[in-house]
Amino acid sequence: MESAAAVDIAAVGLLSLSNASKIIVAVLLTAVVVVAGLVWLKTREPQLGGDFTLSYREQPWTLSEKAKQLNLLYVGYVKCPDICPLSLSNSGQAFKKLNDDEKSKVQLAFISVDAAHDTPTNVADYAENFYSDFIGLTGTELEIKNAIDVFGASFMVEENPKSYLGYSIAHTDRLFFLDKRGNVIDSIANPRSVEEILTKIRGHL
Amino acid sequence: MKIILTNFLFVGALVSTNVFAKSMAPEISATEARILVPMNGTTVTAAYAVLKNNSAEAISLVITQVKPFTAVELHETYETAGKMGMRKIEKVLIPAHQSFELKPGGNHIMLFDPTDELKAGEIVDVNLSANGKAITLKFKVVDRSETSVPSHH
Repeated sequence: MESAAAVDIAAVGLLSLSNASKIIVAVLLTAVVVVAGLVWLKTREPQLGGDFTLSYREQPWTLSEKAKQLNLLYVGYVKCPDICPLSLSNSGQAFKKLNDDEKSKVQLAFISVDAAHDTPTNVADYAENFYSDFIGLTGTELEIKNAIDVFGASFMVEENPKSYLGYSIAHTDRLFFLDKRGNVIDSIANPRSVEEILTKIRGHL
Repeated sequence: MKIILTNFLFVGALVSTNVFAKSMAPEISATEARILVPMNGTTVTAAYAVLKNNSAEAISLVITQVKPFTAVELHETYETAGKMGMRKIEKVLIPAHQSFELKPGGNHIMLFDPTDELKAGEIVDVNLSANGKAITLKFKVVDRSETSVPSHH
């Protein structure tokens, strides 16, 4: 009788120990998952992209309403004589190589960051020099900053009294590739090659 | 008679020197010299060329005037904090027998506010100062699609 009672006590103890172990293991696993999650949050690449509204020929233009399957974005200004036209020219030449089906799925928006000098009309005219469907956008300085900030782009106006213009603008020289929701899915720094742009466009269609 | 002969020989020597000078290559020559037609929506454009110093001494080049543009400047491209910008430079120095390239995405001539329309195919005088001496180089006006585009920056 005594021995049977001892066995029961040992069995209950073993069972209790087993439950405690399970709880400990569960707690440890939870801690590991939480720590791993925190590490991932801290070290992951931030997801760039988002929505914006700017002015296209005096009318509001909102990316989420106008987005195509693939949307290219370039930031610059109309009085930029070299970097912007070179990048836009290369992009335009790449677009001209696309077939009709590809052209229907992709567009390029050029955002002027020169709020003080560029108007919606001349930005739109300027963009169309390079490809008839390129979209030239601008807005107030705050609207422009908010629009390009989500893509990690920026600009800096520099006073230059010795120059005829009196100023110049240093700006991000990167061609962004956005999906239909405005997320940055790719980019090309210094977009200087027609073939590279064309390859990237086709790779994302 | 002796004086007249001496003067004749002296003048003759000068003429010979000038002829010789004219037969030599110019101190500065330009190849691939082109001005891009200004585009709709903007009043600025750029010019590019490969400038060759054919002389035995370094030459400091300053751009002075390009008609019909209201202003003209030499510009350099620079990068700062991940952004690309351009700024005016006063001159470029080309060492003896060396070339200096004004090219898309690099150093270039910036031209502002043309007073007349420019058409592709026109030849435009680009006036410069080479070590203080006025020189003129011929640039062809071209559409942007005709200009060379480097494959990489």
